[in-house]
Amino acid sequence: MRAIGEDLEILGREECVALLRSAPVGRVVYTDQALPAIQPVTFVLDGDEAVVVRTAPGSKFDAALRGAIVAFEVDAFDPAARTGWSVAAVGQARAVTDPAEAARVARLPLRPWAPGPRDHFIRIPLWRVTGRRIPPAGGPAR
Amino acid sequence: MQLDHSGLEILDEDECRRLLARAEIGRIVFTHHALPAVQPVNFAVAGGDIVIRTSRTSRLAKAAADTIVAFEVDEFDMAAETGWSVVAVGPARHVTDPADAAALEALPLRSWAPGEREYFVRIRPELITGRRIGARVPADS
Repeated sequence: MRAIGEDLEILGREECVALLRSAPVGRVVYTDQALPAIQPVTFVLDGDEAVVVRTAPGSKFDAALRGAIVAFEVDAFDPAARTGWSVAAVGQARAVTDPAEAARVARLPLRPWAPGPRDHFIRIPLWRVTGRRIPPAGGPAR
Repeated sequence: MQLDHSGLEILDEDECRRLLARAEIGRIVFTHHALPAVQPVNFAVAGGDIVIRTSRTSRLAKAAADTIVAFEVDEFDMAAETGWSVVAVGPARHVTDPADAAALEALPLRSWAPGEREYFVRIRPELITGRRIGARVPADS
């Protein structure tokens, strides 16, 4: 087996952003009490500049994300065909506090699956986006 | 059924380990150049440890030597808006003992792509947590 992401087809930013847009669930990678942490979330892209997620006010997750440099990951794999791709972005998460901006991002098509209020918005700018694809077996690695 | 503060079902450790052992792809979370990094990998479970095969010179091999990492598996049903996730946190170490490495060679860890993958990394899950989102019919109803 190989660690996916090594020596694979390298995806450009445009393709990475398109794949981000296609994914219904992503994962926020952050630090929680000095330990590495990762949490799946629903999200929406704000243009091609940032990922927006909703959090519950006062939650540990909400507090951990504010001002932190985080990673955001999406992927899709087909175990039968042994192919797939992954995209990871890095940026500084920021709570959306400006009322006009909050009203704008609230109109983005983003509905959390989890119950309870999720009316805080966190914006993760796509400072750096990288992606890899495992080509289908037998196909050339570009 | 126990719920956390945000209304998600808390999975007990036995169920977390069962879900972990069943998954084929997971995501290792580490630090790379002082930035958070995450990489999907296929893996196996041996003796309760998560085992990943990589190359000696990979970013992953360099970053996951004697450090604390997180490892995540999940599964979601987009139509039903249900799913679960399990996160293990613990020390990652390179397997240097030849007997241990030889034993790990027997694991069903097949490469998804060509290339040398002669190195094993073991992650010992010291802390394992899981959540389920969405309805589940009680087994005894």
